[in-house]
Amino acid sequence: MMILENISKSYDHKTVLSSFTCRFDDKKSYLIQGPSGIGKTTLLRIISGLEKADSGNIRFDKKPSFSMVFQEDRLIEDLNAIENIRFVTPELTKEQCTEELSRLLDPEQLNKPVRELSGGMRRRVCIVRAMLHPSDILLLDEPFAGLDADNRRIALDYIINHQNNRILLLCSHEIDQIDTFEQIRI
Amino acid sequence: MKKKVLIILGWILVWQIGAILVNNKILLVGPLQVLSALFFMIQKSAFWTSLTFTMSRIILGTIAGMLSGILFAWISYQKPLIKDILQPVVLFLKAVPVVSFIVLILIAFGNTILSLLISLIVVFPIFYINTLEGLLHTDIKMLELAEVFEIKPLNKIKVIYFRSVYPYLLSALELACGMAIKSGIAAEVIGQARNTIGNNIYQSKIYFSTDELLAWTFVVLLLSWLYEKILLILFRKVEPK
Repeated sequence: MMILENISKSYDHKTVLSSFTCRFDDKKSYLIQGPSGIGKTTLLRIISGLEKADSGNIRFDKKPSFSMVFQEDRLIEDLNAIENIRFVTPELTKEQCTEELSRLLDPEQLNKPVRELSGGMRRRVCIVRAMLHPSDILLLDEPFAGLDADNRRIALDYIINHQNNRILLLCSHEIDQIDTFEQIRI
Repeated sequence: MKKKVLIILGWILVWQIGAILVNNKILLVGPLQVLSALFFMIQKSAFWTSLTFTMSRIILGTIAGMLSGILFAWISYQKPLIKDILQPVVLFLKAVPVVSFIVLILIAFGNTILSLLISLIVVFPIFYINTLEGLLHTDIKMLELAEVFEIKPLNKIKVIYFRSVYPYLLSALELACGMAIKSGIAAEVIGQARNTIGNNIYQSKIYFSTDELLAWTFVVLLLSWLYEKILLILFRKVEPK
């Protein structure tokens, strides 16, 4: 469980988040909605600890661990998809990574350096990387950017199937199965 | 390649003609005389003793300079206060002529480890500045990724930092090898350390043996080239793919 209380954040006197309060429960999926620039990414960054809120509190029932899909891919360009996943989760075997990646990607692409993959393929690597990492909270920032409708659906199914008991927070403009999520407006 | 060889051969020919025209063994000796002096030198055990003595100290000095430069750059990257404290020291090491250090070390420690300490002093700022530059250019986004996923420090250093620092280390290595050898041998010339390349060069000067002087110069050039190549080959083995 995670509770955000009166979270506020501004940059250069421009308010991005203003007294945002919300409670997030384990095993539940949340879709953070709002127009571009409203502070969705900032919210995820504050939750993950990458940024500090100007005011407000975040309370967790225990010290959480995070998995994240960032707005940018943040992959190590010279490494292949399997190596990128094992970089953040070294406990995984090559076989496990191959099996999981093959659910979203053509197996022939797995041994290529990620710099040779298309934008959509790279995005799917990021999704698998985040989902396979053991964590308490999943923060997914526009994970479907660059994916066509079919791949978007497959990727979303993959996310839902791998959520387990974790809290899932998703920011996306491109989501079709909206009913799966509890919607939160910023 | 063929063109390069021809150009070098052309210059050697110009050198030989020049030596014939000057016709003075003190002012200018030709390449054939240098080659003959070199052939004569390598047959003496003193040549190999000098080579071993000089190179062992310069190699040790270079390694010590590299490691301390990298270590202090890492500390400076972690603690900006240390960076500020070290900045004048590094600027001082860069700005002060090597010959001043040679004399100072000679007074303080004598000539036994002179070339080792001079190589260290020359190599340290090169590696310090380059490593720090590489660290400061590390992709912040990748560091954030490491923070969120709680990547182990050693893995972070290996995959994120080393990838960022590697090209800077490579250019430091290219610059430092030649400088370490040249400064180390210059120190030996001034310090007249026995059984060293520098001392042999000094002796050539005293006895006006220009052929031996040039033969030693050729040895230094060859050593410098070989040293750089070997270190670069070793370093490329650990290149992040």
